[in-house]
Amino acid sequence: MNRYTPLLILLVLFSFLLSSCTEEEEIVIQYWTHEDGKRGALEERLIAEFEIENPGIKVERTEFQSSELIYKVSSSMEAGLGPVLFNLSSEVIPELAMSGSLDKLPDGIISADDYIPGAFDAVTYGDNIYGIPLEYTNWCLYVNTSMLEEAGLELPETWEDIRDISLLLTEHDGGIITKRVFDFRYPYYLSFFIPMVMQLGGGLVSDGSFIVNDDAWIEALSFMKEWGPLGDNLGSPTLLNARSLFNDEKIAMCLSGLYQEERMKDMNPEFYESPRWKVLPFPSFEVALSDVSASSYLHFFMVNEARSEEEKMAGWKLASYFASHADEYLEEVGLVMPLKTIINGDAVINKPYGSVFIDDLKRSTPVYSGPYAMEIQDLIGEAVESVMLQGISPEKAVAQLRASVSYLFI
Amino acid sequence: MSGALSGKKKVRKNKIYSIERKQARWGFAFTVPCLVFFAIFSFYPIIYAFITSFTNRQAIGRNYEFTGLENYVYIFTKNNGGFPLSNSIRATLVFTIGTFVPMIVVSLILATFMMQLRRDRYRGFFQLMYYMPAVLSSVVAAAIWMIIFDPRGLMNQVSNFVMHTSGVDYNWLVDPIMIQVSTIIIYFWKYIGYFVILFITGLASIPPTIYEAATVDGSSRWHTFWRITLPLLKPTTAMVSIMAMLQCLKTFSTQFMLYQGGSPRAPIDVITMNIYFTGIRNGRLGRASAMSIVLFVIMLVFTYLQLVANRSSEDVEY
Repeated sequence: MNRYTPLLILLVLFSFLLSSCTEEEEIVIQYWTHEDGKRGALEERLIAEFEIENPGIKVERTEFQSSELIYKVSSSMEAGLGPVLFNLSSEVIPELAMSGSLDKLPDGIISADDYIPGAFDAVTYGDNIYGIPLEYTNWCLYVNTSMLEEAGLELPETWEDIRDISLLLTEHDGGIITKRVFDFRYPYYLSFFIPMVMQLGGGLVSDGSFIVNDDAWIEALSFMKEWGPLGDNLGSPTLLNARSLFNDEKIAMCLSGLYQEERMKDMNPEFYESPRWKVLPFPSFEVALSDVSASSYLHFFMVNEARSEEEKMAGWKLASYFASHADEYLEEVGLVMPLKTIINGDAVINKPYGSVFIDDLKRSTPVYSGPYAMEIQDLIGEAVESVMLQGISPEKAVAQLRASVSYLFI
Repeated sequence: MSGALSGKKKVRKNKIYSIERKQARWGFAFTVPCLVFFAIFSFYPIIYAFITSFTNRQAIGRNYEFTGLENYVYIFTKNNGGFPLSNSIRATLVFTIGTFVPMIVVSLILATFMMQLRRDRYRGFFQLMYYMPAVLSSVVAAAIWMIIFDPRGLMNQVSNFVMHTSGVDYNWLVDPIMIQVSTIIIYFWKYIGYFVILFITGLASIPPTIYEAATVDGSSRWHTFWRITLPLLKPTTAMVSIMAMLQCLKTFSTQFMLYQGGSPRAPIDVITMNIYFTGIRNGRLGRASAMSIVLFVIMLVFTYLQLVANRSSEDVEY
């Protein structure tokens, strides 16, 4: 044995001891969130500032695809390895809250009075609040006005207008679409399809029973059937999402939130600065019985109940730090936090077409966030896609949907 | 003298015994990590899934109760929120039969063709070309094929050319029948090379002297293939067919990716996908575990049937 070997071993052991000492003092917040364009850059900057202000806390931010985040969070929590802090949208919260997986928002972290009424409804169970709002979103109709002007067409107001414009401008090579004019936001059916059903006098749930007013559902599904490949062939769930094409001026219309503007600015600044686009209210049917816009949804910061008290408190501290920079979220990312100062102030109104979004919010209803919301959304998707892609009759699809939803509760 | 001889025999016997024991000890030492790995990552989850299948356990629930056979009764009698297990069994069987039978036949033909190539570099080239898709992840493979199956993609162009049509959308990702064909094509393309390599290994192990003897006896190539190659390749065929079948029964990512891309779920809702949706998305771990046990039993039965079928005909040895 070399005479320096014991010394080396001692050095290695000492360094391990030192590192373990520092690890004990440092609180690590694993923060899981969904991919969201420029929000990543903003939050990385805020995290760096937060870490300087709180030397004992280190933040590890991880992004997932939005469709996968809920399953990553729930399965990791089940395995006892969930993150300290995460954000999820309102429709996926009930199961987590009711299973006792979420930490209660401690007193004094934020002032609920600073938020608009109803901002905490989706995370309030009993007397407890389980989250801090990250964003409050509704969708309106983005229109590339130059494409319509070139064809001598007026701006659309109704779903029928959109269908007529699409019938005129959609390009086909035989039965193959080569250029679309508008397409829906599959698979977010709770956000755009339920409002369409509501405009026709139907609804998702009323007095505990689901799929309200068959006629309204059948009419809305018939519209989708005509829209799809087996009807007028104007769009399909299998094609690239319309909002991605809009920024590149490859589609005339799409549904999106205020955040789309910041993405446009980022991806195609020339188009963003030009007068070639507009935002219009969420369309309605000509025969609409109810004036309803796209459902609004909220994303919340939440904290994992299973973590230590120090970690949980650090997680809430970071979430409230993010919330205290609401103006930067709006300015840099286009995300609206439901704070009174944001919603009632000038900041949103001063954004291009900000007033359209605010006005539409007034005629919107919150997205369904009751039990099995995600599963119900999947089932509505199956119903819509079965009429669009498989030629199932709307009547049969509605009956199947009702039966499938009822099975969820067995 | 005889005493000395018996003494030598004893020493020899002891030596053999000790060498065997030594080898066995090393063999055991090398096998232990694998056994431990299998026990932790395969055997334990199987047992755990079996136990969970008798409970009403949910993904985000803290408490659960023993419910007996309730989950099994449910998955065989109810429609499971619009996606019954019976449809999943149908989708899995259609996919398995549609994929594994052509895959075995074609990979055998391709392997035989490659063995006929005189130059090694040609053979190497073809092996590389056929095997390349196998190293791709299933997700990447599905993404590539989704572009090919897109209405404006290559597949519609080829179909229109072959069918002498113009501008017809064959709905590769949309039509209930075509979407099943699409999943079969993707899987076939991805794994054919892997099974070709296995068959080539089997073909290479057949002694060339047998072929020489057959040639001297005046056997034609066709006759040689049916009377010599195929019978001698039986162990390889059995192994490849079982492996291919099990792999097909476990298929998931291809169907899942296509569904994520907007294709309808019901036609391609294979058992593994139903397990994923029931367990992870809907949080019904008990039901999902019951489904996975059903899949396990199906795989067990099919494997047994194949082994019996392979054993029933006369074995050929050389």
